[in-house]
Amino acid sequence: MKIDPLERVRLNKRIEQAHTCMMDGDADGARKIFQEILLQNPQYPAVLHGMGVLCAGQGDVGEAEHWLRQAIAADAENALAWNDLGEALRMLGRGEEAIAAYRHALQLEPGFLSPLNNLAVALAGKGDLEEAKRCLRQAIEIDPTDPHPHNNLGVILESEGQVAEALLCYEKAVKYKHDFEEARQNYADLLQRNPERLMQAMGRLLDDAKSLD
Amino acid sequence: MTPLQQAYLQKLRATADANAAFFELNMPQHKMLLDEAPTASVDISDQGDLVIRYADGESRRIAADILEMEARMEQFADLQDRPQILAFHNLRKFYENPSHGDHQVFHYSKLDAEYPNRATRHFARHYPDNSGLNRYPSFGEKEIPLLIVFGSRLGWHLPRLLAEYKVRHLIVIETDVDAFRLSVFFQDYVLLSRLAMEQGTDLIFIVQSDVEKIARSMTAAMLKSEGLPQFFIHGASMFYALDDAEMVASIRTTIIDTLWELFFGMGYFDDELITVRHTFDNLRQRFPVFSRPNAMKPDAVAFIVGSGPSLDGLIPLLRQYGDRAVIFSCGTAISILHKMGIKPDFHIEKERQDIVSDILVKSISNDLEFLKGINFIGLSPVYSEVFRMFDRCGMIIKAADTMGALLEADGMPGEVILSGQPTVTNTAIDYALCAGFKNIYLFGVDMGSKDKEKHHSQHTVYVNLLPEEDHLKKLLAHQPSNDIVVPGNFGGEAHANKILAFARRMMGFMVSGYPDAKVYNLNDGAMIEHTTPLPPEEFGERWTGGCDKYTTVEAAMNTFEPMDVDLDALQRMLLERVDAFIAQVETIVAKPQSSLSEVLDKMVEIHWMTLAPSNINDPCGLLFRGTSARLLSMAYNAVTIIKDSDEALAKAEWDFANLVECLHEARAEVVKNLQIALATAEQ
Repeated sequence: MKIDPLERVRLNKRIEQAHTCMMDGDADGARKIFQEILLQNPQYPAVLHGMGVLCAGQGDVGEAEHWLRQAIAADAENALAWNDLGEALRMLGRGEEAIAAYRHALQLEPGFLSPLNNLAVALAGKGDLEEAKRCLRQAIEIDPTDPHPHNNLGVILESEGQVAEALLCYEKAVKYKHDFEEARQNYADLLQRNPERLMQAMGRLLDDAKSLD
Repeated sequence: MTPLQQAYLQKLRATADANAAFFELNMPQHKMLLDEAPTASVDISDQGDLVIRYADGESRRIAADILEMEARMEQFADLQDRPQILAFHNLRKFYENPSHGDHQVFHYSKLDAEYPNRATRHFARHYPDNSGLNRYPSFGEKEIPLLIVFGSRLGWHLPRLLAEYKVRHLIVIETDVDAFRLSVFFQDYVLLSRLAMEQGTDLIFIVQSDVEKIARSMTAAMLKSEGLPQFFIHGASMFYALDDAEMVASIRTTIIDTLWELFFGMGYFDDELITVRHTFDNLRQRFPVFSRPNAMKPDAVAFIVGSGPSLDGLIPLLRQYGDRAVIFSCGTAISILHKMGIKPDFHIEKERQDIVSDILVKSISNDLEFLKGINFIGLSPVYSEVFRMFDRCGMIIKAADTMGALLEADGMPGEVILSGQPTVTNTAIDYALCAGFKNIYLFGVDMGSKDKEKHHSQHTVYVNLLPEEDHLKKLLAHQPSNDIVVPGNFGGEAHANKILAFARRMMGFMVSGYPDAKVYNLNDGAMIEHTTPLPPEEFGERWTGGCDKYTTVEAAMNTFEPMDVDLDALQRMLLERVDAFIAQVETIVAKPQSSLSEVLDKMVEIHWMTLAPSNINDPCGLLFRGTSARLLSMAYNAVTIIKDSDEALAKAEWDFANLVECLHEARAEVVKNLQIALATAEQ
């Protein structure tokens, strides 16, 4: 759909307002803005996408899938919409379809971290741990400071009994996101189960602290 | 004098000497101004307090001058108060009728109506009122595309302005030569120039007391290498370092007026398309082309007859001596000659519209017999039917024209491609001089009138068909001044309009290129440089006996010969160049733009494609120059007043897309019209 650039800018500013509402927990405000835009521009991809994310956030995942598929129909090149569709499908328990959606997002944007991480999780869910680890390592290579692939890789390694490697992954996840609660919990639980690793972990923390000087 | 006074004066003189050397090296025209000492003098008190004493007895403490400039700097920093020039378009005024009014019916395309209208409609749709818009163009706090500084004063403000603002072009206008002389003692122009280089600022000084010449210098500055697009004048910031409000107002008005001339001659696509179609058609019909310059015998005499008001009084001379000279009738002059029963040897036309043939017939009261025996000379864009109205004809390839440039690129010698602008008498004189006439007499070539309202002979039914004039009047919101006072041919003053003033300058310039030719101006109109004023009553004294009319006419006809042109190859060449031009614009448009500054860069780059010295005579530069300048200037006006920066960038995106679409449609129109010309050939 070819849209006048000025109109696009104005619509995007409205959509940004809707996103702010969503972040502030004002789902009704966001919905109102989206609906106003849809009245004038029923096929505007960013609004259809926004409606999908809003519905998913409110737990209406079926409705989310409906909007996200419309968003993709309006703009099939939108990798983020494909990723979010994958998420909705995963939430609906349709793992294979979710994997296909993530893969489509990655085809459109090979370096896109979110679908890479999500794909790894979906693959791990169906037992393909090797492929999941490959995805997560690729994600880490693209952005070593993103905490999520580190945490997810830690979980897989822990499940395979590779405690030392798993601890290192959790440490990195927490290092890059200090308030990453899930990674902190994973780290604490694993250390608790393996107290002999505590001194080594402390040593690494001290080295890190020294390197800050 | 105390040691401090001596040392300080030494310092001032050293600065002046360094500046003089700098100007001699970089701007020799200003060095000449510095050869005289300023009339003002500098006094230094025992404490080193500097005072300037002016010739009129006034004095000013230099410290006070610095503080005053500081106050003006502060005032300038306030965006709301910063004076700016407003020059162009009403962005909401679109024309349901074509942009060149009645002339549109003579065009084969309507792009110059359609695309600017699309731009105004787009603007009006998104900005139906002034909300979301600045009143004046805004480039941000510090960015200034064009800054005009009135007055050099002692120069304190110049480095401050350069250092504090990101100025692309800084033009310093000083009307008081003496003030400029004084400034070189205080301002380090060497350092200023280095500072400008460091900041990427194009620094121009115009030191000139003649307001007209200031505007011309400014025009030249805009057209010089890497110059700025003329539409940047809109929104130009102004810093007033001098207090002569009347002078400043006069300079402002003259600058804006002069912009009209900047557009003049740029043409526009719809008009250039006519030249493409007609010239192809004329070449196909193998009308003989002017190709033998300097072929006339030394005694050849040309009488060039225009329809100026002096012609009425010169008719007896024309009758008396016309049988010993070649008479060239120019445009509507044929109507007068017909009325007077004087048959010219040549008739000359330059206008390209197909209606010229009808006008010609009407101007001789449908007396087609009158045309028998008259030879015709037309510029290459003239409609082929006009050539066919005469028994014999010749065609002059027009310079500053898409097809002229294309033929030159194809190997045609530049010396036989003639400017012939802007009036048909210019065409006649260009031809006569280039063909080798050494004795030329101008009848009714007034180029101005003693009577403001009287520009044409009382006998002519003058039909103004200059498309550029009408087009440009609409193009520029500001109406140009239509009364220009110029020196009279026989003393006193004459009144000209913009076109006549331009025509007069071009004529003088053209004559200056042929120092061995004598051009006599018999008219009580404007003085034309390099011509000899010849009052009609003195004509007999100067008359050398003339020439044999028959042999001279034949010799003139022999300057034209049929030309073999591979029209298919010429067509391919044109289209290849058009494609390359469009591709280059698309490449520029596709560059990322995340700031208004980057948008301006793109505009400059596209504009410069059509005006760079290497492209000034490029067929595509000529084909697209006016149209692209107009669309870009409209875009510039819009994006600089839109408050929201994202919206301004989006508007630029739309406007650039509009330009590209216009170029593609233009290409399609070229193809269509070439096909029509070739289809005509097959019939």
